[in-house]
Amino acid sequence: MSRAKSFLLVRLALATAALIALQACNHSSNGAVPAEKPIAVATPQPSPAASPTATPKLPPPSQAEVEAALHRVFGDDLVAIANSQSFIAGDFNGDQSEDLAVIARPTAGKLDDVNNELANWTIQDADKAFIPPPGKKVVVPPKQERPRVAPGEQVLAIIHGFGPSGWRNPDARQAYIIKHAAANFQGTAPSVSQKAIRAMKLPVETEIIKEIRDNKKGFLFWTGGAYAWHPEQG
Amino acid sequence: MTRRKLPLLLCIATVAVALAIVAIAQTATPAPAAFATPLNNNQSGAVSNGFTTNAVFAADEAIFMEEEDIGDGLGPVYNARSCVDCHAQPNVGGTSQVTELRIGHTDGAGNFVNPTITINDGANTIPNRSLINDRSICAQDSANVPGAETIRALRATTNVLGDGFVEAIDSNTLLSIANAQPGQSGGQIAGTFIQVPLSEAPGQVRAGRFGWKNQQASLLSFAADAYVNEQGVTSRLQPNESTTVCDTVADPEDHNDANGLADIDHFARFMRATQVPPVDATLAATSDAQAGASLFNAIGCNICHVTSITTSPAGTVINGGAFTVPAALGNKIIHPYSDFLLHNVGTGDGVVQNGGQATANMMRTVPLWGGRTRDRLMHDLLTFTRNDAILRHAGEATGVINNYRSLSTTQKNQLITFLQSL
Repeated sequence: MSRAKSFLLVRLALATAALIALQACNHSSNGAVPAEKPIAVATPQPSPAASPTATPKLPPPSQAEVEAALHRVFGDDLVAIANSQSFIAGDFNGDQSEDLAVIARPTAGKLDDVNNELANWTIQDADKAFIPPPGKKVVVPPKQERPRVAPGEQVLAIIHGFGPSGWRNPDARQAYIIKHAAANFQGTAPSVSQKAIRAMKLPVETEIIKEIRDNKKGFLFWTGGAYAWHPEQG
Repeated sequence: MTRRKLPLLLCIATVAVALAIVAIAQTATPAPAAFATPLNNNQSGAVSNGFTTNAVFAADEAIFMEEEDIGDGLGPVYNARSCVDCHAQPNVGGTSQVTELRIGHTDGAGNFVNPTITINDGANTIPNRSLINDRSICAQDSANVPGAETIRALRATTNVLGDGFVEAIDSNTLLSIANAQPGQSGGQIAGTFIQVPLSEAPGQVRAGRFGWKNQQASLLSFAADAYVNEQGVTSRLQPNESTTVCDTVADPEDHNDANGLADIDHFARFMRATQVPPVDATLAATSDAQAGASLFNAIGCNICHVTSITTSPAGTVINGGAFTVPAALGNKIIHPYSDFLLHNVGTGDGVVQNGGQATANMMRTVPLWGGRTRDRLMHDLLTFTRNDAILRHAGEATGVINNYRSLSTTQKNQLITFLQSL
């Protein structure tokens, strides 16, 4: 190769490298990279709600179904109080899927499992649920100790439904153990039927469980994050 | 080697080096991570992600921390006098234990309707606004929440640290994540992708990603929205007060400074320059946390709490043409543990903002980065343990949470250890 050719080749290489580098610089700083591509997805319009489908009407629970559901969710850790008045169904959390509430107690020898911090259910005390005070706007919720179930204590086991088949759905495993809520059931009612609940302005409309507890009429209701008990007024 | 071949080899080597430099320049790199905005009144210790110099970053942080008063345009109704009053844990720009209140009601067709708030003994109203402010600059502006507003929901302060990188995510990336979710979850999970208006680019929309309802798509829009709604300070992008009762300052109240920047520009620049929340490196390195990270992915938490996202390349024009992704934010790998999409996981608050009525019971997937600094959990801060927070997920998350329920106690502990490392 002649000296002139070599020189030309080196110059060509340097020019090519410079072009590559320039191109890269352009890509990274001068807007040669295309702008974010617009997306042809309709901007949501204030159209009518996917109107809340009514909770499907399902047959009343049988004792056998209740015990099977309790076992599916709580294993051998809880045992149902065996009578036909010890369970009730309704859409307690307002998601249009039927839920189940069962009066139960911890199985002898299983209390540690029931109270395990990593158990598959959430233990709550219906007398200690935090409900934001209607008069305050910026709220600092209190910290609470995790409630514990006592030996032999009667509790309310609640299984939230999933989909149209509700609590009977094998995937329905979201569950709560509620202290101070096992009482005599007096049926269910829409949450908006209670003046006290309307005043609380909760985020969801649900069905409440009407109860008589310690000879007092009241109801158990879902606050949006917890179950709470409230005495009936008027 | 012959002398004749030397120029050819030199030529090849030069081109190879140039190509290598280009490849390195275009390779995504991790976003800088640190809690680097300590709560110091003199802003000492403030370290930016490279978007601005540390001096500029500290100056912007000072404005983020500035307490407004009536003369600055505070109110007439407001929640706090400074951004840092709420965005403070564990550093300036983080979260806090403070929630705010949103209210409304549904009409006969089940649509969410914003309330009309009565003030000044009924002489004035604040119409069409779900946010209820806790404070006012005069007694006449104290809000009365009408009894007919049957929806009442608490919302926690969101973290803004690292949000510059979130802003730099291409909307198409978020749409791709949404489109992939049904296939990853047997059809149970389908994030809702919404596009929302950009205040700084009228007529333009972009994927919402900020706020519990994804109601904002850019940090400048977010800053202007928060300034007027949380502090009552109007700006060029949000020039209208929610009420004029007791208002004595002409709008817009946020003026440009000597550098031509208003407070909202400083807020946005501050947020864009923050580093992403870092993991607890010591805990994250433990075998338990690493096993937990694997379980997190194996049971499907990562379908919504997406572990890694790469931002748009530097130079990409976003926000309807109003912002160009700078080198400091472009082509960066972040680990937000969020898809920045809306989901119904059974915790919705019934409130509709920019997403349409179908989103009433949806919330944005909370980014889990920096999550170890919070002990009150979920959007309403009403859950206190990570296990309870996991179990509170239902709806779209049912299948994934049932996978969690099937883990052994040891595995659950590992997963929670992992969460505590974030």
